[in-house]
Amino acid sequence: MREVRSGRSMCFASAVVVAVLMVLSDHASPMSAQSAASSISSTSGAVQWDHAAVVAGQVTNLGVQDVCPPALCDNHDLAVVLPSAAATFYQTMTASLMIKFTWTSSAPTDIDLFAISPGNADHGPGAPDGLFTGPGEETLTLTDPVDGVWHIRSMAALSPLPTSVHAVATLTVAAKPTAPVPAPAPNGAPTFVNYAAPEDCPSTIPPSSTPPPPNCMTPALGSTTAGGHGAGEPSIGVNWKTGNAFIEAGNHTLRVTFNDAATPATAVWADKRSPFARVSLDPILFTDDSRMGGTNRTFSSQLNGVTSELSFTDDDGENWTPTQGSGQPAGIDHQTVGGGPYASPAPLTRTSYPHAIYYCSQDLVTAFCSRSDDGGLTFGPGIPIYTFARVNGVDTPIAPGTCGGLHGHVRVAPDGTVYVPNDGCFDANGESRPGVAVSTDNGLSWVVRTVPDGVSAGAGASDPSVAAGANNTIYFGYADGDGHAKVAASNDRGQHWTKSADAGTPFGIQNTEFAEVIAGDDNRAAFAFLGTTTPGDTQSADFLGVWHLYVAFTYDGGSSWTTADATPGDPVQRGCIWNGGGSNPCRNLLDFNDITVDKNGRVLVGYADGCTGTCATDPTQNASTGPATAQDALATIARQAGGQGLFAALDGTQFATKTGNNKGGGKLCYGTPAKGRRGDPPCYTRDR
Amino acid sequence: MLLPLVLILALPQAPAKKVDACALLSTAEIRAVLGETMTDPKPNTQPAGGLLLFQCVFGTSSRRSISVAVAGPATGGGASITPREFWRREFHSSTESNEGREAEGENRPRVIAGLGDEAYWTGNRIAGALYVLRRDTFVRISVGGIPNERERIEKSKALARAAIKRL
Repeated sequence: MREVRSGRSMCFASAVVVAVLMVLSDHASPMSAQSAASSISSTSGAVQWDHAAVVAGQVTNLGVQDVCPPALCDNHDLAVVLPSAAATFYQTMTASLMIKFTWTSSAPTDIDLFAISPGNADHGPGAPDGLFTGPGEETLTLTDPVDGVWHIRSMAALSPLPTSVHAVATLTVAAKPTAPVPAPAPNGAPTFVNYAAPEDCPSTIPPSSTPPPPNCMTPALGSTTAGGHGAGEPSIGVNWKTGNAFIEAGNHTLRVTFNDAATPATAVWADKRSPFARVSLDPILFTDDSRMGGTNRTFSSQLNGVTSELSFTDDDGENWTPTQGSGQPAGIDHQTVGGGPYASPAPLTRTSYPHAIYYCSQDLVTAFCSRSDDGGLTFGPGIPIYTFARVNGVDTPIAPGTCGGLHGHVRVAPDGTVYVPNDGCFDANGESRPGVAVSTDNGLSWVVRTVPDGVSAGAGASDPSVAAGANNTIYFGYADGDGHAKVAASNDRGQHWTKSADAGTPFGIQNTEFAEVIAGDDNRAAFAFLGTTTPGDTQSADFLGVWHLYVAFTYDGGSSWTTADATPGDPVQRGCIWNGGGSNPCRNLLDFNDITVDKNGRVLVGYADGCTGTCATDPTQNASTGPATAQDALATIARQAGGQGLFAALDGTQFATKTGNNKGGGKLCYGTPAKGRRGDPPCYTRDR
Repeated sequence: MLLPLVLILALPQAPAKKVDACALLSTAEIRAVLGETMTDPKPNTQPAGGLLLFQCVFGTSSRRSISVAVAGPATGGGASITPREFWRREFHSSTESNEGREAEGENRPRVIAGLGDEAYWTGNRIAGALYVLRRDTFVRISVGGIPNERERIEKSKALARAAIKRL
C-alpha cells in the first residue's frame, strides 16, 4: 500500500508554492458579494453571469477554492439539469459542460476557474492556466457532469488589481457512440475465463475436512476468514512444476488448482496463509518459477507499521520457512520481491540456490534494493537505486537520473539485468517521464533510463511495469500522462525504445490504471491494465467511468498489439480508482494488480474485482457512494483460455491440452487498431 | 497557476569535490567489525535528489557486505542543495512533509545517539541504513548478510565511527 499522498487535483493545487496568502478581511465588503445562482440544461442554451471582483497577491493554493474566502474568491451556484439522473443518463448519452471565464486587467493577472461538484469533488483550474496582461481567459470543460448544484468559483491566483470575471457556460449532450457488431473471429484471438475466490466455508465444516468443498474456502488455521474479499493490490505466481497458481489476498496466500480436463477449466481454491504472515498493509507474493531456472519457491512478503515479514514455501503452501524478514519492528514502504538469474560474473557469495532474490523498497531518502544469495534467507545491504527529495509531502525527483519515491515490481531478465519501473523519473533534460532503474551488476550499481515519448501521470499515478522476453527484450507498460495505456519495447536494456503503442485504441480507452506486463518468447508479451472509455479525472469522487480488465498481446516484438477485454460482461470497477493512499471510498483496489505466465504460455492476471454481486449489472452503483458490492476487492484470476499464448512452440495446442485448437472457452472480445473491435455479445453490452 | 517551487532549490553551489567512498573504511576496520576481509570494493556516483551520492559496495567471500555512500552537492544542470539542507528537510521537516509516512506508521527514523552531529536508523528486518550527519555532509551505511537487525545497527554504528573520521 503506498503512503498517503495528494491526488491529482489536490496535488496540483498544493504544488503552487511560494508567496504570501493575502489576508483580505479588510477588503471584504463590496467585492465579496456572491453572484446569483443560475441553472443550465441541454435546452437552456448558454448561461452567463458575472463574478464579483477578486484581488490577491500571489496565493499559496492548498485548496483555498474549497473555502472560497471573501474577496479572494467569488462563488456562483450553477444547477446542472439532466433529462434523467446522471447514472442512468450516461449509460447511453454523453454530455460536456464548458465554462469560460474572461476578464481584463492592466496588471499581470491569473484568475483560476474551479468547479466543485454536488459531491464536493474539485475540478480545475481551467486552461490556459497562466498570467495575462490586458484581456485574459480560462476555460474548464467537464465531461459527463453529474446533475445537481455545482459551485463555480473565480479565484485570484495573482490579481494585483480587483478583477471581475464574465462567465459563459454551455451544456451539450449527444448519444454515446456505439461500435458496429462485426463477426467474431473463430480462432487465434485471446480469450479469458475469470475465476473469483469463493466465499468462506461455514464454520461448521472442520478445517481438516478433506477434500475441501469445491464451492467454498476454509480459512487457514488460526484465521477467521480466508480473506478473499480483501485482495486489494494482489500479486500472482505459478509453480511451473505443479501448475498451482497463487494469489495474495492481504496476508492470505490463496492457492488455486485448475482442472483442465473440463472446458472451461474448473478451479479449487485453498487458503494457504503463511503462519508468519500477520497483519499486512503491503502484501507481496513472488514465485521464482522455473521459466529461467527457478526452483518454484513462492515468497509471501507482508509489511505493516511495525513489522516486516518474509517467508517462503517450497511445497505450495503446506509448509513455510521464515527468513531474515520475519520479525519486528519498523517498516519501509511499498516493497517488492523478485528474482532471476545472476548477471555475469556472479558474486562470490552465490550459493546453491540458483537465482538472486531482490527485495526493493522505499527508504527515507532513497529507494533501494538488497540482494539475497541464499534463496531469500538473508539479504545484503540496501543499495540506493535512485534518490529523491520530499517536496510538499511528495517524494519528487529533482535531478536528471533520479525518480520519485514509489516504484513498481522488480523484475529480472534472463541475462541477469535487474529492472525497477517508476512512473516519474527525470530524463537528461529534467523532464519527468516513466522509466526504469537498471542494474547490470547484480544490484551493486544502478542507472535510470526513461521512455522518451512517455509522460509521467504525476501524483495519483499507478505504477508502470516491465518484463523481459527470452532473449532479454524488455516490454514496458504504463498509464501515460494522457491516461492512455501505452507500451514500449527496448532491445538494449532501456537505452533506446520503440515508439510507445496505445494498447487501448481498439476499445477507445481514455483512462488507465494498474499496468502489468509479462513476457515469454522474446517477441511475445502481454500487457494487462484496467481501462475505461470515460475521460476525466479518475481520482474525482464523481467520476462515472466503468472499468474493465484488458490484456494486450504482441507476437512480433511490440510492433503490433491485439487487445482483449478479459471481463466483457462484468466491470471490475464502477467510478473512481483512488491512488492517493490513505482512506478513500474508491481505494478498494489499492495500488496494483499482477500478471504471470504458466509453463504452457497462458497468461494469468491476478486482480481485485471491485464490482461484484449486483454491481455487475446495476449501473447506479459506484465505488465512491457504494453499496459494498461496488467497493469490493475480491481476489480473482483472469486465466487465458483461448488464442495464442506467450510460447510459440505451443500454438495450436490449446496450451498443451489438445492439438489443432486455439479456442478453449471464454468470451471473445478483442480488437486491433487496424480492424477495430470484434467479439461475442458481451463485447457490445460491456459499458452498461 | 504559478509553479516556482524549483527556484527555492536552485541556489548556486560550489562544484562538488569528488569523494572516494571506498577509502572511508580500511580493511582492518572492516575486519574488526565484521570479522571478515572485504573484497572487490565497487565505487560509483549517482545523482541524488539535488545531491551527488558517492558510493562504494564492499563484498566478502561470505554473505556479509557493506554499502557506503557520502553525499555532496550536485554539479551541472538541475537543482542542487547542500547535504545539510537535504538532511534538515528529511529529518526535521514540518508535519506536512511527514504526514504521509506517519499516517501508515512507516519509515519513522530512529535516533541513534552519540554518533556524528546527528544520526538516524531507518529500515526493517530485511534491510536498513544508518544515516550520520557530520559537518557539511552525511554518510549512509548499510550492512547486509546479518539476520538480526539489532546486530546490524551496532555494526553499522561501528563502521560509521570509522568512516566519519575521514570525512
